[in-house]
Amino acid sequence: MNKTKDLFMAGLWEDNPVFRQMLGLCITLAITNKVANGVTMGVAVFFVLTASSFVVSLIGDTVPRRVRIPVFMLVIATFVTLVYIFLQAFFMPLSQALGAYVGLIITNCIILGRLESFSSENSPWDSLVDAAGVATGFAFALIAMSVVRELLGFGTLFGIQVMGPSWTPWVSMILAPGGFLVLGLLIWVQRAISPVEEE
Amino acid sequence: MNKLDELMSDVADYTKGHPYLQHITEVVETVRAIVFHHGEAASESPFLRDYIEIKRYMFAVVLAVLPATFAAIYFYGWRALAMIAISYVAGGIAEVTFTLVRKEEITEGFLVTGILFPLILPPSTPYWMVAVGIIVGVILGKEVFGGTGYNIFNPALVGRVFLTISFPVAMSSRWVPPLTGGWAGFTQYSVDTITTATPLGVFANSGTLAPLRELFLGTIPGCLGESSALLVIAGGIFLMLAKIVDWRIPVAYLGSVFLFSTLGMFLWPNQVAPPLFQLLAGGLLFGAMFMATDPVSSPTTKEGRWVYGVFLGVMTVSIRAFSGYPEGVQFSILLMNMFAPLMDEMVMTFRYGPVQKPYK
Amino acid sequence: MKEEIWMVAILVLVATISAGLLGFVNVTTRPIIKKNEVRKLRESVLESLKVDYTADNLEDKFESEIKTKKLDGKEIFFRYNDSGELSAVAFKVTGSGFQGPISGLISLKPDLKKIIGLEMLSQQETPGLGARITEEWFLNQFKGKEVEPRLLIVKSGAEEANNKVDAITGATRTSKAIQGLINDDVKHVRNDILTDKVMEGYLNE
Repeated sequence: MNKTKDLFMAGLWEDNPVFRQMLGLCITLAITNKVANGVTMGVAVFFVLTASSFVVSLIGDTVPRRVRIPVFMLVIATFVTLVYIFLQAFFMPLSQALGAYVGLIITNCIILGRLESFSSENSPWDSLVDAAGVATGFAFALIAMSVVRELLGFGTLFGIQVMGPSWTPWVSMILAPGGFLVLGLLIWVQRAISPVEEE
Repeated sequence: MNKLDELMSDVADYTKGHPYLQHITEVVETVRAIVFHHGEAASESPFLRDYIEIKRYMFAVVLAVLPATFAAIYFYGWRALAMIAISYVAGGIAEVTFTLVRKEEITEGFLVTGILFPLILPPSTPYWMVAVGIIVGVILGKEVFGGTGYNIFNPALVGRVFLTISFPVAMSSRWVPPLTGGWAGFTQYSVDTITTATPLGVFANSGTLAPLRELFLGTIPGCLGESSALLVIAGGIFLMLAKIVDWRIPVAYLGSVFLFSTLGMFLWPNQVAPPLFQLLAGGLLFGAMFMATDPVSSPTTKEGRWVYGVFLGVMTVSIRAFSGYPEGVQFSILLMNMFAPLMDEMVMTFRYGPVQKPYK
Repeated sequence: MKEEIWMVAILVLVATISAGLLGFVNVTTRPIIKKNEVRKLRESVLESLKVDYTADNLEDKFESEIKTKKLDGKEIFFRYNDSGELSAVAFKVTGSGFQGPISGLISLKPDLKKIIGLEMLSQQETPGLGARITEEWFLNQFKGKEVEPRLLIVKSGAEEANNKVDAITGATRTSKAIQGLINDDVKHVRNDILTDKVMEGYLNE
């Protein structure tokens, strides 16, 4: 039980993919200007990562080492395409807002990284927990950033006015520079709370 | 002894004991003490040729922008002073918080940033925006790099650029015309907001040039401290004579703007404004005298300073002529700040050969 | 040799399963996605023509109010009033914006000069700046403006005129793009597709 919890928490906090491992930053910077986008992307990555982790942990031993990367890519691409079609069919506005970024989950190094370094060598259960932890950590980072950016950049949360009608939007927060600034500041906060051990 | 120092000493001697002018003696003596710091002279060798330290530099710069500050109040009312006060309080809180957390001494570095920052803002900037800007400038422009002396960028400009990209409407399209005649702003709190455009903005839109005389005196819309070319030049010359800042940077910067706008005017007559207009309009003089010369973020070698100034001029003229922004001084200085260490290193390498690394 | 065959077999197997799964999902959801797109287009057509509708009667309203014709490969929507006279024409306008393609739907009076309404179908402009072209206040400005001789999108505060619309502050490039795509596409339709001669055939139901 304890091992499960540790595995999950490592992905969520101590080895947070965005704040600690600096992975998946392209998507992180590009889509976090609205909380709805952050949540959708978080859920999409959660689905793709847990599903492909599970599948890879099942077939990991069977796949010859030399073709493992193409096989992993195929598995990831399948699930990403599923999410892509699903969003288009049932969540049209969100799929338009996220545009090409859903397709780009395929190249998100967080996912391939977990498959390569963890799922292919561990049991299905451990892989699921690990994937869930990392994906939750990613979603947490996306939501944390998009809350700051949407609040300052639009004065809203989930599109609802919260900062009052006279709020002056901080345009920089919506644009790329704001993404970098908020990312930097949040990494600072995360490392201040649990400092990196110097080697 | 420095010429300016000598002059001040003469003035002080002359006015001493004079029935009407004796008050001037005290003022001049105080200024002289701050700027030239005669307090701690060594009586035995080794001697320092010139004693410069952070306190002396900071007070001298504040002194040099005082004329421009008075002009700001004259043209835009006492609100200008309120903006400076807010900048000092908000930025001071950010500064003190960091020094306390880091358990360091509080330095005077902030005195200059705190007054330069409001002076490069539009007169109608809301108070909360002033506070946000100076806090961002102090934290992201200085403290994240390790505090005074470690910053790569000029903190006041970091705050200004953050405001420029965050609040494009407030920062670039709400200019107010200056007050003139009689006591003007000294009897008013603020200018009733009538939106106008700056001379550079007018040129970018319609190609019309403002009269040089108005640019020189400052009776044109612009940022608080930059309007009056006359008073900015006066402050700059004071700093150069007192050897607080190196004359090479302003001279190279302004010279390069003059040269490249003359050249550009013939190549792209519709986009590049004539040289004299370029020199006097916008924040160029203020930037060249007080911002580009910041000893922390500019090069330290003589040759490096020449190169730095020339590149600043090229960039300013280019941004003014070919970008969506009518003014380019803030971006030019920040961008060149980034290259300052590189320039120094190149000069050193050229002069003394490649730097030997202590380890492999 | 045996190992190579095994590698290929695994790859083929995984690819087959993946393709089969995706093919199945694609076939089942295609009608829904298609329907979404058609619905969005129809909503925009009705919206730009200022026809009242609700989510439930959208299809009925569209069928009864609008006649769709495909001319020279371009879908054109005609609306007739009660006495059978042509009252409005609508079609898609497309072009490239600051960050990617922009497409909108414009409806005009039968003279093809006066705008009745404008709606945005898709755009990828900067959120908070260029993306504000989808906001009500911006689109409402177009109502009643003239595309003749040219529709102009100008800095706010400029002199008012019946062919001028306020641009979005801070999004000059997007505003210019909208100006370009409206003028170009309307001109194209007027000169090449719905020429005066062609129009005569559609003036009455």
